[in-house]
Amino acid sequence: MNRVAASDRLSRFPFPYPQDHYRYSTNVEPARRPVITEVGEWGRWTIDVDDEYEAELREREEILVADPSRCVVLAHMRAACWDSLLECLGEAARANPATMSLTREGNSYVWSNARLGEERRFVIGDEDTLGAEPLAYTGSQVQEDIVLLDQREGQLWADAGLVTFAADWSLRFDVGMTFLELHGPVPRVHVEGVIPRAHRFLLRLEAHHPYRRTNWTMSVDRRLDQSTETYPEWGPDRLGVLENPELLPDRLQLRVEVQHLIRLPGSGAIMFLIRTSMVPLRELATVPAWRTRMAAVLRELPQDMVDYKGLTHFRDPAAAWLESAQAAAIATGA
Amino acid sequence: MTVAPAQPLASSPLAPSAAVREGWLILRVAGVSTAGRVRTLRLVSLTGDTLPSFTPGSHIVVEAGGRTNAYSLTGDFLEPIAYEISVLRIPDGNGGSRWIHDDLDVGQELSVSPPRSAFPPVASAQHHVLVAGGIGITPILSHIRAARLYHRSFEVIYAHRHDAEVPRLRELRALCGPDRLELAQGRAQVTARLRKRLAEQPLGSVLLICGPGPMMEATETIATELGWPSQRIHTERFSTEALDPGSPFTVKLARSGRQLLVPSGVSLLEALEAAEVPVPNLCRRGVCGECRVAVKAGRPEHRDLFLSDEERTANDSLMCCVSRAHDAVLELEL
Amino acid sequence: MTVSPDHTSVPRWPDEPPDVDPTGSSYLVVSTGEAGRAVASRWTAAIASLAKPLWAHHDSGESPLALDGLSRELAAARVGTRVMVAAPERDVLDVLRLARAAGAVDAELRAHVTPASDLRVYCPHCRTDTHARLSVGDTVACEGCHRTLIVYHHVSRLHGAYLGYMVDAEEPTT
Repeated sequence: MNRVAASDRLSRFPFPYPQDHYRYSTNVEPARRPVITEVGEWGRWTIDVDDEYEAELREREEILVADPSRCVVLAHMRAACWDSLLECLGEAARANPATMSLTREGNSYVWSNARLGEERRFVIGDEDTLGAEPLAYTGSQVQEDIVLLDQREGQLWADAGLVTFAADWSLRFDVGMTFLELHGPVPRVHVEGVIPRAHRFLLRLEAHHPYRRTNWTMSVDRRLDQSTETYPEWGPDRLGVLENPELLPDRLQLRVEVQHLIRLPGSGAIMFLIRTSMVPLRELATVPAWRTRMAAVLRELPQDMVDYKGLTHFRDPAAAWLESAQAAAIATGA
Repeated sequence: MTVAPAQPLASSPLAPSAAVREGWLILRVAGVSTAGRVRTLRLVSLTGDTLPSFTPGSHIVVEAGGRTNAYSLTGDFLEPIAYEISVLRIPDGNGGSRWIHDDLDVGQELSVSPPRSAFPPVASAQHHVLVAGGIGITPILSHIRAARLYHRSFEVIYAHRHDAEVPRLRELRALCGPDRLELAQGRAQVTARLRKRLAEQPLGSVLLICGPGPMMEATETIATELGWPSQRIHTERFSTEALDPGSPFTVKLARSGRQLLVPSGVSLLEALEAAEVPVPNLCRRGVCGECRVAVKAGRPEHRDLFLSDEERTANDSLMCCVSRAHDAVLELEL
Repeated sequence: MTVSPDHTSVPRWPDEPPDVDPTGSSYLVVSTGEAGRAVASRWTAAIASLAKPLWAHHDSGESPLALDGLSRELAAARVGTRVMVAAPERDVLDVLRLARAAGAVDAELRAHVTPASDLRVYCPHCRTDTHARLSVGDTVACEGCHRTLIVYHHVSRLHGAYLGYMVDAEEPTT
């Protein structure tokens, strides 16, 4: 469903490939640095509010009503949830001063969100003043998925989260795992040292120095909820999308996560913000540099990574279509 | 794709200033109170803004009369209006505390590091046993504030000498109430209290200790004898190693023949960038491997988290964003 | 396979039973089955010679392990307690899960896994558990939604379960 002008979506799109081939790497970089792309910009803030804001938050609410297990908070993570609320609302306000504000009045905070018609005065630690559990409230005000990790015993424990737009994982199952255990199923990243390095980096992350990285996969249709829970609903589409080749470039999306890694000062917990963006191949192909690079990345990607990312059935058709779009553009002198 | 330089938050006291070192803050002494050998300072921002939030148990490094000393932050930790430290006057120390007592006045400015967290609370603990000796009460004060804000179970055992005043006692009594504070005077009483209390803590409790070295070791020994595993025992040890700005050194660029000076407090990467020698880089923290440069001569001082042990001993490359040189001259393949 | 077995969340148990940690101040020992009993009896003998308090529970293993007694002991336990369990994997995961929920950390837990165990498999599609004698890579019918699940190399210590997911969602439907 095309709710938003394609050009706005594309101009903010965080194209994830720095090279013509892709491998896992500890690709962390300092956050809050705007990235100038061929067609626009992204990355100025750690919270991204766009034109899909209202629609995505409604979708999140529907998912949570149908399946409350998408929001999990182990008891000791309450402090981290309050921290996360302050951090996310504060950044949303800095990024959108015309419509949002967070001000402190003595012991209270006042959050004002004109986009949702929300006005709330609350006291840290007092759920009654917020009218909701703090992580759930944060998730109702920002589009990002949120995972909170507690640092203890030299490990990072994913002990709370609100994740409605997962790319093929289950927060409910993974809650309580360490960072290293969580990434157990990912091929290569342990043996090649990527995950151990990322782990050491996170253990030493300091407050007020946010970092970010990107991750990518592909989706069929603009379906945000691609969780393990609903796999029986979206899994068949991975094969089904091939049935009508005409629709392939409109249905197949490049799906990118911008992940922000933030140490929350009050609790010392680490917050992962995961912001998901998608563009269909047809739109992506309007950017010459992007269509050639993505085709090259898809062609070169090793089979184990293709399989892990769920691209098995359509890696070749997607690459072929991008190459045909390139050929067509050359032929017409575009 | 180009990445623009990071935008500091407009009202952040971390915005570039005349601070001596990168990220350090210039704060004004807004208040001073002295009780016996302990002087408590209130430090505020020059612009009247709130200061960066910090994790309870954090300390700041203060430039005091030409010395750098670490002091625990004792006050509110969420966007506080002031940082508060208590300094014990040590007559035969390095002179930092003497300067703070004898030479520092209200209205003067101090250069301080951002807060560093090395003694955080344990969110998952059933109960916190906070043991302080003398001036070691300082980080414990912010732990108490955190425990109160987040409704965590805690108790304080405060050891002091017969003839010494007890720093911050009135405030302690107000924060703890009668049931959660035990004062113990002299070694025999302290030992008896610890032997009793540490034998009756519920599974899941943690022990946090801060005080003079021998007192901390004695407390640890009692705990260990009573079956406390080391993972449950946390001690505050200040370490300023990571802040060590390093000695200046000269870098020779083998390919261009140029020579640069890398001053103390400036990273090799920063010096190269200032000299317009481009080096690919990403995390700027020594973890991603992007800024790796080949070394032709001279011994690197490795401070990164990327290289393996073999790679370090080979000394044929280094991460220029964090690493420095053991020798006066380092020759690079640039 | 490029997934490193050493790094998945699937627990890897050493072949030899661990020793009793002599630095504990009291011990909780749980065992099920004959092989478990044999290991636990060596532990309880060692604890007796340390002359430290001991609570031991043995279950035949014929029905699911009764955890009420252990729960009560854990609720009253002090720091200094060590928990030891010798049993098939599913019971071990349950004991460890309970101990951690009561506040124990890894340094206070020691386990020996005896052979031949049911696994608990969690189905994320209907959020129910299925128990069967299985290995990673096997398939099983979910007791909740009847989909065929494949047992994946991903284990949650909090649930004491392996992750299963629908094995045939991407098969052609004929």
